Amino acid sequence: MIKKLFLIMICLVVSISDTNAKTFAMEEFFLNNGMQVVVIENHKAPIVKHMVFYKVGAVDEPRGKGGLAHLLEHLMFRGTKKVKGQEFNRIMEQNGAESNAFTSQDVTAYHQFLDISRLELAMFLEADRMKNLKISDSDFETERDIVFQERKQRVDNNPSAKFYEMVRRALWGNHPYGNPVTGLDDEIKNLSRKDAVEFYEKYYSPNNAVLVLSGDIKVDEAKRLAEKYYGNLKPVEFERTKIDDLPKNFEIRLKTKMDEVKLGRLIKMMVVPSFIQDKNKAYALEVLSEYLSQDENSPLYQKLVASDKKALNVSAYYDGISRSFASFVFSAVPVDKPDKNFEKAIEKAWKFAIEKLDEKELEKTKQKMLSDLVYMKDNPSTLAQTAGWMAASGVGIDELQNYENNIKNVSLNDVKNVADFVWNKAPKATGVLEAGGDVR
Amino acid sequence: MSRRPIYMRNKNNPFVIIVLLIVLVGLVYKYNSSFSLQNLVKNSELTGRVFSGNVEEIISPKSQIKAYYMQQNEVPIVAISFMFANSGSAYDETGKKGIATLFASTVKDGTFNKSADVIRDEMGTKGIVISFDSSKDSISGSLVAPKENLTDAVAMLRDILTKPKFEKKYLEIAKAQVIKSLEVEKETPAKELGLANDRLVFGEHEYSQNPLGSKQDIKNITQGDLRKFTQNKLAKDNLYVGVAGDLTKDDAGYVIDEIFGGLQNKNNGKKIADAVLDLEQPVLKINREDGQNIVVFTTKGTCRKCEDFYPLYVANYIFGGAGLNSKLNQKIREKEGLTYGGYSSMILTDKANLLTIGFSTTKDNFEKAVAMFKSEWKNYAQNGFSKEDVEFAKDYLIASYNLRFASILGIADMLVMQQKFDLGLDFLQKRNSYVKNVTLEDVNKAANKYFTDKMLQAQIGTFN
Repeated sequence: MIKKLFLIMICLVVSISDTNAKTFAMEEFFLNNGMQVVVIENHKAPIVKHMVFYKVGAVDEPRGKGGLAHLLEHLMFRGTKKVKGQEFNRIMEQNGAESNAFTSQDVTAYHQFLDISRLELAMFLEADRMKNLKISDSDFETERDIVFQERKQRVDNNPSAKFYEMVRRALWGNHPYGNPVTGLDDEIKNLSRKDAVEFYEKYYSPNNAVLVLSGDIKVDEAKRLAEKYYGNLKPVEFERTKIDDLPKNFEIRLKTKMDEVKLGRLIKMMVVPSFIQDKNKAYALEVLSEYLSQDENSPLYQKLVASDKKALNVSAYYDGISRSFASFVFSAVPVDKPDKNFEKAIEKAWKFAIEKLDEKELEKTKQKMLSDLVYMKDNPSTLAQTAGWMAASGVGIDELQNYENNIKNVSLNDVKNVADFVWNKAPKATGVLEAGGDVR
Repeated sequence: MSRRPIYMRNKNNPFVIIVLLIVLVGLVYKYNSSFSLQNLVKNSELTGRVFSGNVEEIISPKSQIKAYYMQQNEVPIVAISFMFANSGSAYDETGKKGIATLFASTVKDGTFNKSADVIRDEMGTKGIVISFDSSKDSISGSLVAPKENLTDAVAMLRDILTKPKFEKKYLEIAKAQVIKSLEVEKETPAKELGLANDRLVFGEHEYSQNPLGSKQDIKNITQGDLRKFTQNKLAKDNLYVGVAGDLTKDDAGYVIDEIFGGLQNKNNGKKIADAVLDLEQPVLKINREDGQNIVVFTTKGTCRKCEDFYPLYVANYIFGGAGLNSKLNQKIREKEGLTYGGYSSMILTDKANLLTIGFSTTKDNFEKAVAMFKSEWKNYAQNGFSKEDVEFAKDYLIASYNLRFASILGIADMLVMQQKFDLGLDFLQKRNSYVKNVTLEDVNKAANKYFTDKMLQAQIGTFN
C-alpha cells in the first residue's frame, strides 16, 4: 500500500539527471504563436503519448462558477465545426487510441496514447478543438447532468473523498484552492452555456498551452509536425488570474462524524511553498516527505505504527507543483480513535522523526529517491504527464533534468528548517473524522 | 488520500477485475474507411513502424523451468513477472481464511538471511521493486530492477520465495490492518455491493468468500502457517514466469534458476470445483443512503480458449467495453446524462467465466437507467449489431495493438498471461488475424447466446 502510494508520488512529482549527460532524452521549444512544446524520445515501441495541457483550471473560475473548468473539459468532446458531435471519440477509438482528459486546480489536459501512425490524426483533432469548439444547448445540458453524476459518484459515494474535500475547504478558505474541482451541487446546476463559451474563448489558445509528445518520435519530426498542426493557431491576449494570498499564520480545526465510516482518520494539511515560489524550500520539502514516509522503515511508521502501536498507517506527502502555494499533507489512521491521545502520539512521533534525522538518514533518503528514477524512462506516458504538468504549472522542465543534483544539494539544515516550518509555523488545518457506525 | 484530485472523464470500472486480452503483433493496418480524416493516417510520415520485440521460450538450464522471454534494451531495467496458480484466496483452507491475502502483504517481511528492515533499505537504495499480490485464483508477483542491481535483486527474491520469515512484529501489524480492513471496506457502497454480489453469484462456492478472510481465522494465523503456505503453494509445477528487459537469453535462464530453482517440485494445495451459477434468484437489494445507487448484473460468459471467445469479446466491447462509445454509454450517459458511465466486462477466472454489467446513478434516475439498459441488452440479443459496429470494434482492437508494449513490466505480465491461458508462443503473430476473422454473424450469434435475460441483479442504495 505504502509502496504503491510512494510510486504514485514519484510519478507525479519527480525526475532526473545524470551528472554529465542529460538524463532524459527531452527537448523543449516554442512555436511562434507562443505554444510550448516538450518532446521526449522513447523508441521502445511504435507508440506515442500526445498531450495538450492548458494553463487553466478550477482556480481560474469566476466566484460561484465552481466546476466550470471541468465541465468545459467534458464539452471539448462534443464536437467542432469540422468534426461534428461525437466524431472525436469515434475517430480516436477507431484508431486504437486511449483518449481521455483531466482537470485539476491548476491545469486542464487532453491526451491520447496511440500508435505512432495515428499521431498526425490526433494532432489535427486536438488543434481543431482548441479553436473551433461548438457547444449546443442540448449537449451543454446533458454534459452538465453527467458532471453532476460524476460528483455524486466520486465524492458523495466515498467518505474519504468527502472528508478530504472538507479539510481542503477549511484550510484554503477564500483561496480558490478551497473550491472542489467538480464544483458544488448548486454551482454545477447553475452553470450556463454562456459561462462555458466565455471561459473557452478566454483561455483556450496556443499561448496558454503546452504540447507534449513522448514516444517513438524524433525531435526534428516533432518540430515539423507541431508547426504543421498547431503553428497556425492564433494567440489570444488575456489577463492571467491573480490568485489570492493567504493570511500568514493560522490554525483551523474541523471535526466530523459520518455514519458510514467505520474507522477514524486524522489529516493535517499545511500551506507551504511551491516550486515556483521557493525552489530551495521545495526540494527540501520533497526530501522531508520522503524521509518521513517513503517506506515502512521510515521514522513515522516505525514509531507510530511499529513500536507505539497507535496507528494502523501514516503518511506524509508534499506536492510542490502548483501555480500558487503548495500543500503538505500528513495523514494517519488510528488503531483506536482519533482523539487527543492520538494527537499526542502524533506529536511525539513527529518530534522523534525530526530528531532522528542526521546526515546518514538524509543520504539514505536521497539514495532511495534517486535509485528508481530510471523507471521514469520506461513508459512514455509517465514522463509525458510529469513534464507536461510541470511545464503547465510554470515549473521549468530543467527541474526534471537537474532533479538529481538539486536533491543532492539539499542540506540537513534545509530539511530541519522546512520541517519546523511545516509543523509549527505554516497555516494549518487539522481534520478529525470520527467513526459513526457501530464500531466496537 | 494525499493525491491531488484529478478528474478523469472515463471512469474505471469500480467492481471488477477485468482480464484483458493480451498481446499481438504489429502488422501495418490499412484503413478502408471513407472518412477523409483517415487520409492523415494513410499519408502520415510516421507510418510503417513495427514493434521489434520477439517472444522466445526459455528452459532454464539447471531446473528446467519453462518461461517466456522478450529482450528489450531501450531502458536498462529488467522485469520478471510470475504467478502461482491454484494458490489464491479461494484455496484458503478451512480455519485459515485470509491466508493468501495475508501472505501477499507480509512475505517480504524478513528472510532467514536478512531482516525486513534490511530488505526494505536495500530495495529502496538499489531501486529494486518486488511486489506480491493475491487474487481468488492465484498468488502473483513481480520484480523490477535496474540492470546494474539485478544480481542483488535476484538473490533477494530467491530468499523471499524460499526462506521467508514473516517477522512477528510486522505480522502482528499486518493482521491488525487486515482485521480493520474487514470493517473499513464496507465504508463505500461500491465495495459493500461487490462483496454481497460475490455471495449472490457464487453461493456456496469458494469464490463467494471475502479474500480478506474472517476475523477469527486471521487472528489465529501464525508465522508457521505462512511458512507452510509458502512451501505448499509455491512450487515449480504451478509456476508461470515472464522475463522482459535488458538482459540476454542466457542470463534470463540463469536468473530463473537462481530465483525459482529452490522451490518444491509439486504444489500441495487443495482442489476446488468449477462454480455453478444459479441465475434464477431474485434481485438482491441493499438499502443504504449515499450519493448514488449502484447496480451490477451478472450472467455467464465464455472461456479464453473457447470458440466463442473472440465473437463475445467483440460483442462485449461494442455493448459496454468501449468506454464512451459503447452502446450502453451512448444511451444512458451521452444521450440522457443519467450516469457518469457504465460498463460491461468479461471476467475470466479459473473456475467461472462471467459477463458483468454495472453503473451508478442518483436515485431519481435509477429506474430509468435500469430499464434502458435492459431494453438495449434485449435489443442487441435479438437484433444484433450492425456490420459497421463490428468493423469499428475490430479496427480499435487491431489499431491499439502496440500500446501493450508501453512498459517492461507490462510486457513481462503479458508473457505470463500468454502461458497461463495457453495461447502459444506465436500468439503475438496470430492475434490480429484472430480478431480479423471474427464475422458479423459470429458476433451476433454470441450476443444472442450470452446477452440473456437470465441474469443476476444486485443493487445498493435508496429504492422506492
